[in-house]
Parts: sequence; C-alpha cells; structure tokens
Amino acid sequence: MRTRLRKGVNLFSNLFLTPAILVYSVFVIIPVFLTFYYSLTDWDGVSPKVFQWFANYKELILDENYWVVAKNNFTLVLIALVVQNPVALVLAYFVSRVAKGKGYRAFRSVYFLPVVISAAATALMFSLMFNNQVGPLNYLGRTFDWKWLDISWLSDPKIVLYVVISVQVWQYIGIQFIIFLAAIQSIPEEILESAYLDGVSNLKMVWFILLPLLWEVVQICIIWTVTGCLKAFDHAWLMTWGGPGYASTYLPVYMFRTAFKEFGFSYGCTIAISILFFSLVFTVLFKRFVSRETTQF
Amino acid sequence: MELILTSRQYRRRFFFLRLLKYIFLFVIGIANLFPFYWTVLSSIKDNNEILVNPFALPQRVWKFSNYSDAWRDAKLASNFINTVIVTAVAVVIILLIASMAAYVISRVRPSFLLYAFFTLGIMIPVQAMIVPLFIELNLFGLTNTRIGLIIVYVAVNMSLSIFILYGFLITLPKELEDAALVDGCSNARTFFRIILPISQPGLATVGIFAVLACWNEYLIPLVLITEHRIKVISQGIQNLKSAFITDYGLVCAGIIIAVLPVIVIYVLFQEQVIKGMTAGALKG
Repeated sequence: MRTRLRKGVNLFSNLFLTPAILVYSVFVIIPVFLTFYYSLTDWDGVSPKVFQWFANYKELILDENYWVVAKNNFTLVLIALVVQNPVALVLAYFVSRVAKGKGYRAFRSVYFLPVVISAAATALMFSLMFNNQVGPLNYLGRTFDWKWLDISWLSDPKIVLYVVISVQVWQYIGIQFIIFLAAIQSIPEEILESAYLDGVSNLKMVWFILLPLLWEVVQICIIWTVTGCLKAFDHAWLMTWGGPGYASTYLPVYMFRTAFKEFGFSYGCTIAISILFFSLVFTVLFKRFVSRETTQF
Repeated sequence: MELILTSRQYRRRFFFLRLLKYIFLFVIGIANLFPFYWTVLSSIKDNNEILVNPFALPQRVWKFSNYSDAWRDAKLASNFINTVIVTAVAVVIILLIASMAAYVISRVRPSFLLYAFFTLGIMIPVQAMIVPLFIELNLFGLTNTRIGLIIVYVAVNMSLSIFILYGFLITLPKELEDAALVDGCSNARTFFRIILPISQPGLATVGIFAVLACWNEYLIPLVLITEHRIKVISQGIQNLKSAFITDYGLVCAGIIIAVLPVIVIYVLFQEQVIKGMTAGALKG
C-alpha cells in the first residue's frame, strides 16, 4: 500500500516537473553551454564551425573596440552605483517621512512609474526630447540664448554616453527607491523617531543610521545594479544604435551588433560569455568580500 | 511647558529643511512626469507646433488624427495584437507550469537541488543564450512564429516565477494536503482545487511581473522575429523611429499607444506591480 502511494507521488511529481524542466533546460540552460561552445569556434552561422579553442578570447583581449565598449559599460556601472543608488536612498528616506495622506502615495507612484514603461518606449521618447531640432531642451537653449543647452545631445561623442546613461538612471532609479522604501519601513519607528528628536540632520540620518541598518538591502541593490547594467541594451540601441562610432556602445550592444549585424556568431558568443563572466565574478567577489565585512561586527 | 517650547524650537529649526525636502521631492517628481507630459502634448500637435510651442496645449489644431495614423499607417495595430496574444498565452503557461514545478519542489517532494537548478537562471543575462536560442528556434522552424516567441518568454521567466512561487508556497501550512488526502483527493486534484486557489496572491505577483516582462521585452523579438506581420509592439516602436522620424507628432502618438496598457495596469494594480517588480530583489 505504502509503496503504491509512494509510486503515485513520484509519478505525479515527475509529471508536474517535466514541462518546467524541459522548457527551462532546452531554452535557458543548454543555450548557455552552447554559447560557451560556440565561443570556442570560428563560425558565421552559415558555414561549418571550426573548433579553435581560445582564439576568440585572445582576439577579444587585443580588440581595442572591445575595451572602449567595456569602458563605456563600466562608466554606466559606476554612475549607477555612485549616483543612482545614493539618490534613491535619500529619496526613499524623504518619502518615508512624508505622512500618509500628505502625498506619500502620490510620490511613491510617480517615482516608480518609469520602471514599468518599456525601455524601448522610454528610449524613443528621450531620443525625441534630446533631438536638437524638436527637443524642449534645445528650444529653451534657443529661446534664452543658453548655448550650453542648444547642443547636439545624441551626436556629440563626448556627451552622448552621459545622455544615454541619464535616461537609464531616470528609468530605473525607481527600483532602488522602492526597495529602499520598503526596507526603511521595516525599521522600528522608535529608532528613527529618537534620532530625529535628538536633532540629527537628514543627511547624517541617512549616512550614520539608515545605511548601517539597511546594509543588507544595500548589498542586494549593488549586485542588482551591476548585473543589470551589464545587460543594458535597449536604451543605447534605440537612442543611438550605439553611436556615433562606439561612443555609446555597451557590451550587449557590441555583442548584438557583432553576432546579428555582422554575422560574427562565435565572436558575439565570446562577448556574451565575457558579460556573464563579469557579472558572476563581481557577484561572487562582492559576496565574499561583504560577508567577511559583516563577520567583523 | 518646556517640552512644548522645545518642540516648537525644533519645528522652527526644521521648517526650512522640511521646505527644502519638499522642493527636492517635487523637482524629482516633475522630472519623472515631464517626459510623459511633453509626449502626450506633442502627440496631438503637428511638427510646426512641436517646434515653436513645446510646453503648452496646441493653439491651432488638436491633431488627434496622429493616433489613427499611428494605428493604421505605422501598422501598430498588428504589433499591438501580436503582443497581446503572445503576452497573454505566455503568462498563462508560465503561471501554470511554474506553479506546478514550484508545488512539487516545495511541498510534495522537497528538493533543494532542483530549487537551485531553477533559480540559477536569475543570474544569467539573456545575451548569454540569445545566439543558441536563435539557432535552436531556426532548427525547430520556430523563428518568425508567435509560438516560438511564447516558448522563449516562458523559459526566460521561469526562474524568477518559480523563485517567487516557491517562497510563497513554502509558507502555507502542511495540514492543507493532509486534510485533502484524508478526504481522498489525488495530488493533482489537491493542487488544482486547493493549492492554486489559495496561492492567488503569489500568482498575482508572478503574473503581473510576467505581463510587464513580456510586454516590454525588446531584444528577444528583435532577434527571433523579422517578418513584419509577427512583430511585437517594442519593434513597432523601433519601426516608428526609422520610418516616421520626420513626423514627430505621429511618433509621440505611437509611444502613447504602446505604453498605455502598461500604465493602465500600473494604475489599477499598483500594489501588486510594485510587489512583483521588487519581489525578486528583496528575497534574493
């Protein structure tokens, strides 16, 4: 009797697991291994693959464009870390101090709104806003004769990267904001209240009281920021196609361009593996470094 | 008396800081809303008015025809319908098979190994699988089909969905199945009649997250779909940019059409949307 029941449970479990395991293995896990395999070959997607071990990786290291692109990507990571996260934290703290019924919900809804919009729509919206003919910034520049506003935002290689980054920050700051907000609200009210009555200023409060209390959530946000930035594709591709030249190209854009526009399938896979490598290495190192940090307390 | 005085002093001292704080919050709020404001206004203007009068309502004609033109001429209609079909079918399948798998590994035959296997995918960027996906779908004859897109959407959303549902199911009391078993319910019946109805909050979180992910996805259709009649809305947006770049009002109307469903969902289900978008981060 018991074995029959056991058998029934096993049959049921296997039946229920099969679709998920099948789809997930075939369309997520196997492709990752295939990507790695392709990166070890010379292949344009049409002619036969030629296995060549790590030749693509050697080429990658010597590829000047790759490092320009990687630098752009790291710039994005850096700005997201030192601007986006801190501003999100300060915003979350301020909004958490706004009483319900005095605009708390309104602020929260508005700050999170850009996150749910598609990156493609955001990118197109901002490529119009930064268009030097119809964009409102250039309009202001022309009207008031402010030369610094009347520039070609999306075709000047010196600033285009920062324009694209600012759009990404605009869109995604809401995620960190909402995560920090939820975390702040889980802190016992008395702690913040007593600090507030002791006359601790806002910025000191954030730095000396919130940051240590929220350190765990901050870590999660840092990991998400870095891995998220390493995947950044939509904005750069749709606003500038990564140009002019490689001025606003990130690793995923370079990967897409190589694999699907120039049919360098195997080299595209090599770039993809380098993206995976950077995010895994960062996550592992960061977790190890941080866990050591917390044991000291 | 003294207490009241000190609190008054504090109030005075913090009044300006409070004011500054609110100004800061308002400025950021305006920065969040202004692009939408500008796009909505521009969507009912002609080129000339966008140029000379960017900040106010159109003064001469309210050009609502931009919307019908975007819908018809830019063929956003077919993009829109494709996206609705693909998103709806993909989300239903995700909910079904992810909850089935999450149920087994959390309650029927607990397995940390499978849990780790499934959640591994959260760390994998889509770039690390997009080339083989393209090759595989070509092999199966599934490029340029809605089914192909649906399957890939199901696959790439599996990890986070199972992760969230597992976290939800593991908290339910064990007595649920025992009672069902005593009543003679089979496992499958227990799942569909008892577990699924109880899991509604978890399913709502996953569902809304998946709806937004599928609706907003750009890179995957860009690679897998090249035939115009199968293209989805994010590709329609790209098409707007290249084909109608000189008709700015029409482009703006197209953007509004593309984001309107998402904004409606956001307004209606704000709590679940926020939960869905942050569940992965907070529990990870």
